Amino acid sequence: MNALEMSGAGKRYKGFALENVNLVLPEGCILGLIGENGAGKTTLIKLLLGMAQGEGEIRVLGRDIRREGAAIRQETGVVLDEACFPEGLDALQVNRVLRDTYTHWREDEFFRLLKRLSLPERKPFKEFSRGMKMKLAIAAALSHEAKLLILDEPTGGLDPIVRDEILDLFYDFTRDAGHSILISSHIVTDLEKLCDYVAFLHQGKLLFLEEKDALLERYGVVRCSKAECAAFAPGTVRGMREGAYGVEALCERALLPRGVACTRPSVEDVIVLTAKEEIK
Amino acid sequence: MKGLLRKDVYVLFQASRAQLLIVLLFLVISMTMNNTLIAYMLALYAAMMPITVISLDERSRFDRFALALPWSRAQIVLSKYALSLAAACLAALSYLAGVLTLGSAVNGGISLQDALTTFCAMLTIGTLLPALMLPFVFRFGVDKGRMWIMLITIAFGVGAGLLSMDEGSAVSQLANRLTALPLWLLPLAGLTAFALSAFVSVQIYRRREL
Repeated sequence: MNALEMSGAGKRYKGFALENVNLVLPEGCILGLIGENGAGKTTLIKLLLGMAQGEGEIRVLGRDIRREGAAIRQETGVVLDEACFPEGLDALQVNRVLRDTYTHWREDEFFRLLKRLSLPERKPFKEFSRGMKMKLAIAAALSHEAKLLILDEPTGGLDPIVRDEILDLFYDFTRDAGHSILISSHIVTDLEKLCDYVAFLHQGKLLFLEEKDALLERYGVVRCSKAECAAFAPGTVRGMREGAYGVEALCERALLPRGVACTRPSVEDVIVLTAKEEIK
Repeated sequence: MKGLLRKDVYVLFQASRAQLLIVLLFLVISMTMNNTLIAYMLALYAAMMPITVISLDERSRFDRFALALPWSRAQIVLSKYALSLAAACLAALSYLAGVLTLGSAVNGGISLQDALTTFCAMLTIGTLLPALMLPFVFRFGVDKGRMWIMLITIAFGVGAGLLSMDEGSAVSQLANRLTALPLWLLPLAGLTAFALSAFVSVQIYRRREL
């Protein structure tokens, strides 16, 4: 079963459109959704959660989100960028509210996570730092036997220590083969560590969705002069960055002439250079 | 919906402690001093409670987060109506019980007929006001919703005022007929408007983008 399936999905706003998104995330995998501010990541997540009405077909955990939204959300853990619990509530009250909300709410797991993440039980949410707020949201998302996590910028604005702590929780979650994650972030290095698949959303369009290892195998970074680069066969260069001493080009390894040296790119190289090509 | 109502009660108690104290004070004054105006103020406060909760939800962006939790949009809307109805009934019943017991012990109390009149009026205020306000709040949010309610109330008030200046006008005749209706019809009318308003709000909120 696929954890997520989107076919021809989209959403139109005044001045922005998320267009024709086709996306599949197999069960048990982690998909990193990358894109600049305003690329449409949050819109895509809203569509997946049934928070917004859009075009196309969207299936989450094998079911139609439009027909079975509430039932699907019972099995989905969610962390949103800013939106979260009411300011006056503390962790004890959040527990009681969610116990009355989720069919499979596990108090023991929630309090275990609070302890692990050093979160106070009686401090009001409004007095939490951003890191603590995110940790509480993640603890809640992981305490109701969810099969899928949908995380919108869960590590945004956090220091590296807290980020690492949070990424560890996601690793633990994916030890179960039936658990899947969709995580959006600007911090490509986090996604590079965590993800099996990488999707790149740019100006409302899904530019690619590929297995991370295949993506990094497929491309190579070539450092050469602009003239040398121009001599490559058409379709070889997928993106280019010009510097004082030449260019740095993202190339299809399979199309490169023999003998041309190239290095393995990082996911960030692929994203940045692909985006630069698109902007041209 | 139980989780939503629990959350609403927590939010109300924590964010509006001062307001709740005022409500309690109004309740005691209205019961012991037979002050119907204060009783109506109490009903007005009760009617405003769901708006207070929605406003606080908007401020913490919980309204958006709620859509990602396993509640339907209809449940989110209906929980506010349930809170509203509970607040209206609690205010009116507390007044009735208090005025007939504490009130009569303190200052001789008022007649059952008078107490029931105030009770019915309180229930009407407690159901009719949210019935009128909530669809606007669910459509535009609390801030813009309040503005729309104010504009419509002013337009309605001015219009009705101008039309009723003429004794024989349709508005005057309607007002006379309304005042002649049996008292128990008032909360019934309030409840009918309340149910209709809940239906409209659900339809509105289903289409709202957050």
